[in-house]
Amino acid sequence: MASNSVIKPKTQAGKRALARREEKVIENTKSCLLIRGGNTSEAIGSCLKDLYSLKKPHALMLKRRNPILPFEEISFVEKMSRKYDCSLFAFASHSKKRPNNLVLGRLFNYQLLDMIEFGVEGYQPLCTFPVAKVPVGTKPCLSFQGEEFDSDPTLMAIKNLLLDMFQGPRVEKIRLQGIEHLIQFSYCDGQILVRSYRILLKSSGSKIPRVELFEMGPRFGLRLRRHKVATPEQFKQARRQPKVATIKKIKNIVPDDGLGNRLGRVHVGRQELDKLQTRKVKALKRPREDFNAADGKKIKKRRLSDNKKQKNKG
Amino acid sequence: HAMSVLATSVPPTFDLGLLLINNPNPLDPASTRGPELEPYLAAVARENAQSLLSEIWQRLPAERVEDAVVAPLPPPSTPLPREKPPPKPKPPSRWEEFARLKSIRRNKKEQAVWDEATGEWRPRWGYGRADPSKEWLLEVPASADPNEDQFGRLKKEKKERVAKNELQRLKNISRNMRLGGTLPALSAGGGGATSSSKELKRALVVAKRSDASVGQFSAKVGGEKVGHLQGRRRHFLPNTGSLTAERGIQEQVLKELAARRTDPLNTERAVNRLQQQREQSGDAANAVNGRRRPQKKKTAGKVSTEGGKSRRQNARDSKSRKYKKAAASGRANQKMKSLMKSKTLGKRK
Repeated sequence: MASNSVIKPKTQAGKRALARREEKVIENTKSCLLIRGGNTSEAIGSCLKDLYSLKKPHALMLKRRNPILPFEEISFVEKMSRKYDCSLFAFASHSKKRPNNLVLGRLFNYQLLDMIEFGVEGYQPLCTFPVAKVPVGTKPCLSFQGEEFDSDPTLMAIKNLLLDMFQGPRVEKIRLQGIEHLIQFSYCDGQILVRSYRILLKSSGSKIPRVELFEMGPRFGLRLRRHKVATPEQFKQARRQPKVATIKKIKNIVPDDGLGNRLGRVHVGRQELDKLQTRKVKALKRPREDFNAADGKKIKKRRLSDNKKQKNKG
Repeated sequence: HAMSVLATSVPPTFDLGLLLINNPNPLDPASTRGPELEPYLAAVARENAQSLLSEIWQRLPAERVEDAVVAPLPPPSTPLPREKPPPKPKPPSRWEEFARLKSIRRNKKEQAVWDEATGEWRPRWGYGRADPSKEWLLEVPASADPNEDQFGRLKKEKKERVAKNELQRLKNISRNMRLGGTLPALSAGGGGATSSSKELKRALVVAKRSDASVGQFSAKVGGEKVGHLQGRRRHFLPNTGSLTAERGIQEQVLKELAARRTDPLNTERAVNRLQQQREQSGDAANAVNGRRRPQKKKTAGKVSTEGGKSRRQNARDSKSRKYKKAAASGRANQKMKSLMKSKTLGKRK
């Protein structure tokens, strides 16, 4: 809570900004920070701009050049992520050793979680495709083609990162006519081919519409260079979910059997019947041998008057 | 319908929460070469999109919201990491605890309040409220001093109330911190784990003893309790003091210097060293590239024996050995005495 901090915000806007940044049960959509390195080629600079267009409004492009090396010193990215409250980043640079370099990464709690360095090949910008673009903020469909995305550990990590990067806003309901965008990632000859299409739904004979695709751009291939993947422990910590209060189910009791009766089963433990405490009845006091004589006959009940008679007799 | 472009030996899996389709079939290597690549990829994408949309249309129940048809998305099944850790539950404040014990509930107040003075409904807070501090006329109560400034009194009381509230708030925060929480983010750009007072004290102790004088000359922080200096290593005798003691030390030094001349070479050590070096050079000859490692040449200033230690090192060794022996025997005696005296066993400083 913003009121939990020592320094209280002075304006409502400040209060709202702090409330937006604090830890939440259901989080905001992850924002992407786009950074240009010390030197960029036309291609990679344009690629970064296209990425910005794809990720709008959950993206922020830094204006100035930042001659940093993420794989050597990540502190700049972490600092910027904290300043602008972004947990994804894309860093574009160009050098002779690493031409058209793109580093995609993400952070957890403003600290680096993982990052992958790609070489961008065969890039064609968004503007070269004459197809109309999708509206800003559309949730894209994602398609991963290739068995390596499920078997190779590095590619699995890459897939996870790309999912996080391109999943768009998290929604509870989606308008079926609004499924307009598809991004396809195919693994082919050591490259991840990225293609982006506009979906047009045409009526087919059945209820399910027929899909037609038009390549919208941008188009590029990503060749894996270096990577820094989170350890399983780090990933596990990042995955920790908040405890959601669940309604505790009471066992054994049926609140309503349909007729307004509340039923339950009473489990009585093991009982020793001869040691039960019952109401004392005189008839049950007599020992058992009285009832069965040696000859099997029942012994007659003796009365006081009998005793008297016996006495008189004897 | 067109024939399937892919060999769909493995059916694709879906994660509808992310609108994701995973197609584990490999691409046809023949089609991925040359100019056929893009149409092939487009065809593959079209099939994937069709499968995904069929899945969505079939699996998810369609609802109508106003004039749009929507489908509720399930939560994603692919594990994705969070942006920040989940929020820690805030411990209740002093008032909240009290209210819980006494089962005091919050009464929801109406926003509009009847204002007698103006004869109209006014909001309780915000714009247009009946603010007592904005009154143009205030009655002087019978019990009050007639010369007292009533407006000033109201202002002062309000200031005091605000200050008290702020104090309570800070007390709550410090209480939470003491009970094991972390200090909440001070600003949007700041934050991060800050230590409790215990941790800070520990850090101070460690930092202080990390210099050569083990914190003897470090400035004392307010409220810090300085104990005895731990780990004092280098002891220097005072510059002034007993002249006879100093004379004795100087004479000892001269004696040792004179004694060194008689035994410049520790023959035993020299022989061992030479043997070691010969073994090592033998290994170098058997190395992969067959090149011998060049021997380290000693500087011209030092006088050294072949394969042996420098004279100074020898002297140091002998001295240390001698002192160690003397010290050890002395210490052993002391230890025996102390052990017999005291009950504690084990290391003693």
